[in-house]
Amino acid sequence: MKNKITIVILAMLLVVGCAQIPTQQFVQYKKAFNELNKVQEDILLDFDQALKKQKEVSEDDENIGPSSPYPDTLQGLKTSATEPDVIEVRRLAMLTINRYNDVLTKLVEGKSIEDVKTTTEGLVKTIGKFVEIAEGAGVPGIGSAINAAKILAGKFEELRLRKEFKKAVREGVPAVYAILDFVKEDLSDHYTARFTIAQSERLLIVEEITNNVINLNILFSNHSIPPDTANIQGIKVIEKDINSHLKPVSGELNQDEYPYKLEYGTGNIPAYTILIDLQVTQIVSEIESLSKKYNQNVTQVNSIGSVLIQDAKLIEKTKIALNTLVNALDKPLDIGVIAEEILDTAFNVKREFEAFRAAQ
Amino acid sequence: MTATEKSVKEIYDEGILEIQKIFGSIKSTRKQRDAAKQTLKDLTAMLLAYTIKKVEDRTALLSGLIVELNQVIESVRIKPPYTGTVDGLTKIANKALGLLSQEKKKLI
Repeated sequence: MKNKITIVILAMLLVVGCAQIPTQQFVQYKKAFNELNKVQEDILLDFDQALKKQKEVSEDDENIGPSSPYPDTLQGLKTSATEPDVIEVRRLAMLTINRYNDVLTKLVEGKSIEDVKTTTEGLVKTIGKFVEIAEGAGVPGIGSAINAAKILAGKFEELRLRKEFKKAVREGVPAVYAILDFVKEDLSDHYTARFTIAQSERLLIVEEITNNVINLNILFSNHSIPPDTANIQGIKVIEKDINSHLKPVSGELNQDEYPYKLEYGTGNIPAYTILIDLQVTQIVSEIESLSKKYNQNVTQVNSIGSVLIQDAKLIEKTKIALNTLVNALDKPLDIGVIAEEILDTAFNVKREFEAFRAAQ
Repeated sequence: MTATEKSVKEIYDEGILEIQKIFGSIKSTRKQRDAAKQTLKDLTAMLLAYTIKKVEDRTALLSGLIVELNQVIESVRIKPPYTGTVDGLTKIANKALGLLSQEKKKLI
């Protein structure tokens, strides 16, 4: 009888002994996701800005002539009202993964194990009292029986949690994976949106620059060499200045024209004066400021590009961590740890049963 | 890159190259510049509209995935399903215990 009980206990514990959750792999996945989630918030804000700019560009193009403050058809009004918010849906997707991770965390934490133990203790205690009143005497070793029941109930709850975790991972991971893939695909379009807007702004800067150079040329060619050069900038100095300001833009300027050459006009034309010189100074200063704007534009696009590349890497990292977690579900867990745990628990249950039997 | 995406990008790139030539030269005429500005606006709007369409198409699919994941979340049983039953049993046993005590007192 004694051996039979021991075999039954060990057999039960062998079943529940496998009730382990790949906690380490889950923690790694959660860490990777949290890292991604933090960055994603800023990325979505920037994406929102880019999409708003896109709408401005499209509306600018459509609004030729006077515009109406409301759509001219009910269909137009309906479309704008029911259109799902692109950014909101993406935020919601990340929030849903967060909620899903929280549920998995609760299963990993296994707080319900203690609840089950308490409930079991309550029932066994009541049954013990029942027997005590019916028999007219206390049940010997009831404390040990309660402990044994608690250990087993706890282990069975662990098994349930493990099964629930496995089910939740198997059913939820394909959706998480697909969401992460969509978020990654978004990055490419996010860059295209930013790049397209920036490219348009950059080309308009180049247009303004060459326009200013044209104006500068006109000013010089419409005036002859000043008779008095005192208080007037040297033409070669101005030439050197603008060419040096425009060095970062040079790749986009006509190579037969840049570096620019400035020349006074000839013939019966007015001479170059201090007043003209002031206008020239203004134009040179405008060229300098446009060149700075050009540099900012290039830096901005390169920066957002780097951020998006980093984000793509984080998504890949999260996907790898998720894959590792899924694989860990089927992998035989560290048998040494399991064996140790089984033996440990089996010993505890057996000890409680022995104490229970001894008290009979 | 899909065929449509490729052709949209090719049209855009070719147009931008021409605009770049006009804007980058001090010999371009005012008329050329104005035409290039309008083309730049059109090309920018075209590529952005195409990009935003792709993002919007993905939004619908994402909404479906959110629903799917929420269903998984709802189906997960964090609390053990049988603790309620055990609690119920304990309550019944406690009631029976009370009755048994009373009956026993009456017998004594």
